[in-house]
Amino acid sequence: MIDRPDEELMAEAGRGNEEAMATLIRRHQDLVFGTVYRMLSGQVADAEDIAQQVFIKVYRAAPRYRPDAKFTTWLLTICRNCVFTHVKKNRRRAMESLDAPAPAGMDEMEVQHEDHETLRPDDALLQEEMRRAVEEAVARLPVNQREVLLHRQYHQLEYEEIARVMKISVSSVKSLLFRARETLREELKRYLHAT
Amino acid sequence: MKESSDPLDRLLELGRPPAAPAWFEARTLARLRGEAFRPAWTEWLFRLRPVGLGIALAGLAALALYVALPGRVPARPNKEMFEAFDAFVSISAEEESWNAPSSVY
Repeated sequence: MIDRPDEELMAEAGRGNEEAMATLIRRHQDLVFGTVYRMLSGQVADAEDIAQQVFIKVYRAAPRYRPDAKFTTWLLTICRNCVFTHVKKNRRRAMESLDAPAPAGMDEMEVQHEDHETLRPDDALLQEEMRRAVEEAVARLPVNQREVLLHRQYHQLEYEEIARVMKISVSSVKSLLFRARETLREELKRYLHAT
Repeated sequence: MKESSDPLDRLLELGRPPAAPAWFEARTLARLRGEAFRPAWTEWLFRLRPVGLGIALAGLAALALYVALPGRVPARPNKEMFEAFDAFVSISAEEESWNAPSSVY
């Protein structure tokens, strides 16, 4: 089951195979959770709830699924729709989060960052400071720039795939990415030579 | 991620999105068992709630209109009503004759 492609697993899940669905969740949970988490600027409980909703939608759509595009493109489109539905439902609260920096309380989750024990205390402090600065700078980006950056920088999606997920042109994707990177370069300039 | 010469890429690596929390898979499967494995018709029934509410409201409005319609009240009094009125007038006249001051005093 582990080595089978996503499309086959979806067909199995469409026939009610729970093991196939479990494999899909295991394979894509970090992508879905990370995307939702970043798009909501770090609301852990909401991010987990929405990431679960994404997989519920995937399971419900499985019998009708046709592999016209890459599975991850389809998955990220569902992910995006779920986030924006959540934003619409909780407009006031969510809009604040879309524009606000990530909260400092994200340590409650098991975030996999560099092992600070291998660094000297000064270095560890600097690393932590830089990590927070990056997260806050990314969280301050407009949501569409943040989304492009996330898919390109962290998920290594092709421009065409990002364009299909966001329903915009490839040139718009490149433009959004360029603006995002320029903004970050400006905001993080004091850390740029510390890496 | 490929090794990049751009210091911004190296810096952004520090802000990599977090992995899904522990037990995410188990919790999602538990929720799937609770929600997604329900029969499809229950989902449709749930989605059709606003339609049911609309039908109920329309029914109530129609009933209210039917009851309050002016055509439902007879425009002219019928025969029984005239008879009842005559009877009432005669009783009133009789009462007046009883209440009139007597000529004896």
